[in-house]
Amino acid sequence: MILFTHIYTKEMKNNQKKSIRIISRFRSILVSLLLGAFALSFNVAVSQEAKQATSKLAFKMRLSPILSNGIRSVKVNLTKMEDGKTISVENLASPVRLYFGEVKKYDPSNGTGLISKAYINREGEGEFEFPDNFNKVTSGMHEFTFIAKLESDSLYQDAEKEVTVSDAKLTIEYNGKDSIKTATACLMEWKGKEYVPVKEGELKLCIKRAFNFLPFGPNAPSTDENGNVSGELPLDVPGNANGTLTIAARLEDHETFGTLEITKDVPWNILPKVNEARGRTLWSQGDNAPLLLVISSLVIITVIWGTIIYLIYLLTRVKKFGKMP
Amino acid sequence: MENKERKELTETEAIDLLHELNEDMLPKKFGIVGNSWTALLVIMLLTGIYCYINQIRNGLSITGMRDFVFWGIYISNFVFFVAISLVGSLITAVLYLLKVEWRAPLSRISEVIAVSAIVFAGLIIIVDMGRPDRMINMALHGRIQSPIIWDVMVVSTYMTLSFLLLYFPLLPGIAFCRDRLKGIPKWQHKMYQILSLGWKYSPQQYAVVKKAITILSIIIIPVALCIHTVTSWLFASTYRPGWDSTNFGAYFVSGAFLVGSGGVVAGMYILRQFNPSYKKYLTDMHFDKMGRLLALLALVYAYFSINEYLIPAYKMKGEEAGHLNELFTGYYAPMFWSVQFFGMVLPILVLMFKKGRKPLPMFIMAVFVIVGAWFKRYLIVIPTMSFLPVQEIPEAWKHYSPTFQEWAITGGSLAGALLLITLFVRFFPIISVWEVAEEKGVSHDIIYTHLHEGNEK
Repeated sequence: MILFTHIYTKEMKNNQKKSIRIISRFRSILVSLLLGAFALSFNVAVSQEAKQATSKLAFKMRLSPILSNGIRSVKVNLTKMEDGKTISVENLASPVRLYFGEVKKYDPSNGTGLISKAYINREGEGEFEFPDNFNKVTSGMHEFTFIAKLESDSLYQDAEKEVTVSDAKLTIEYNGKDSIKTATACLMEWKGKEYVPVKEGELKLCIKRAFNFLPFGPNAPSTDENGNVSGELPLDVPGNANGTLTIAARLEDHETFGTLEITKDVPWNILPKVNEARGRTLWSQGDNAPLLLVISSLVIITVIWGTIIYLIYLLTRVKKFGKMP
Repeated sequence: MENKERKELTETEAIDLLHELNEDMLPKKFGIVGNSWTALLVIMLLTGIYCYINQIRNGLSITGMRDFVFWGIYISNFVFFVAISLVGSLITAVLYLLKVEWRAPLSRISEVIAVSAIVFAGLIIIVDMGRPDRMINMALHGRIQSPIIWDVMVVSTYMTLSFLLLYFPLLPGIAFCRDRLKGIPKWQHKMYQILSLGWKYSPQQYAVVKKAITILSIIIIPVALCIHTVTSWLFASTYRPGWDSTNFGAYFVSGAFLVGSGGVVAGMYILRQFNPSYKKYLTDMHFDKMGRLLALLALVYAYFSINEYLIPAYKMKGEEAGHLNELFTGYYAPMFWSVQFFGMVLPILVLMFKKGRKPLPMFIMAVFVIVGAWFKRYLIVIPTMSFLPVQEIPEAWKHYSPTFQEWAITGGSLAGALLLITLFVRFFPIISVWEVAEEKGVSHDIIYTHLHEGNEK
């Protein structure tokens, strides 16, 4: 029994030693594995980061300076190439910043520096809002340089685009005294010390509608030596509800001046007539439903809600009976 | 309600039965399960309200809806609520007019479901509006030609009628709580006092209530048919594939009756589990009858479903083909076939057999019908949005996946409807004492005398 106990104890000790050895070996394997995994993941992360840095997407930036009724703004449009097609950048998370003159903080004394930032919509477009006093502080300037910058976006490469436009002036006059109504627009640019007419400018005359511009006047409009374009207004165009018509002159995407636009409300006597031809139909606007529909709806509503009112009266009867002895 | 074959009880039997009914039907305080269930619903509702406030602040951009997929789970949830609310008219009105007596203990359950569902249908449609403050413009500038205006009118009318159909038969029950519930808080007693309208169990009052129920039962049926037909026209009056269908009205109404009946069966089962004394009134016989009704409604719905999908699938024209392919074999196929099988085919098969019409299998089938119905509305509303008459639009714009906020608001609305039902069970008799007494053959005079005298004592 003693012998057996001795052997058993010895064997146990041996086993214990063996287990300790296995555990220590296992521990060292585990530590090496962990270290290896860490090194590997670090390597992968670094290489991924490097790959991400180099594999950022390229895109094309286009700036369109606009002067509309004396108010300046700039639109930005981003496109990229995918499968040989040009498509809009639709998923840009970072804003594009617009600077005037030079890339620096905004200087309220002369309007230079950071003007604003714009987020791009799903059509790849954004519009920069200008500070309220921008026109005032830049009133003496005749050349405007805008710089748009995109920096540190996780998906797209950094980019910068610069555009310079010269000062120009657009006016529009309306002549409605005669039976033939005309409009004349004049395009002038700043040269030296004064505004001078711009010849052969593609100045369009239009009527402003709800969503777009309806052109009128010459088919291929071009300004004469006085910078003028004239056109005859169509007389059958309905005006606005307040008895006016909004006429406009537009110079679109000019390489020196950008987009120029001016509008003017002129008196007009053709008011919009709703449903003139259609009359009372299911698809008419406003209160022009078919009489049968109006009458039948009113009858149904009166019958049902009349019954509901009667039922509410019955509730008062219940209450009245409750008060009776 | 008079039935020549009904066995009249003797006065002693009738009084004993009334006494038993009184004891069983009084609303009781919730135990731990009831309180936990209520707390869960309150938390879900509050989460939904919080997310809705967030939506009002930030606009609908927090949802997954965009220019192209402009109707999401709010609208499918709205259609679901409108559908389930139709059960009030079926169980209470149709079966009442047909003098089906076994419907007595079920009528209030169905009416409570109807009122809760229609209230939240009205609310969820407001949630779907980007600018709810502009709702007044519907009244000021609404065009009577627009199905949206018809829907607003019919939802508000049906809500009023459903409320009245719940309230009139409930008057004796409220008075009963007012007179018999002891040791309740003052506000609760005051509430019963106001809502009971001075009810004193008089024959004249019963006569008025019966007259009102008859009028309501007649008038609510066309309004109920209108509400779901008009809801279907919101879709069917467009040219979109999957919606441009002349079958939509009947298809929607049949589906609504099915899901509503499923709701009543689920309610019956849960009530029996919640309060074992209800087992005396919500018997296996009621489950059997509801099972037959459910099977019939599922068959009718299957008929309209086949019409809805088979004939367009035979023609496979233009964009309709693309839409059907998406449903049958495309992205939505797993959901589509699961809904058809679990929400319609399986209930028909199970409920054909007597064993399938026992409470537990009935409950399981009812849950399948309800869940299936919700996802069916999702399939009606969403997939067609990806078929647009616009070329070369980014693929991402065609897809819609609801955001967490949308799920939370939708979940909150479902919890809100369940909370209304739960609170009703907590404070009012969910089974009508006087209607069940009448069903069991207690004469009206005995009901009046016993309840009135009991009150006087």
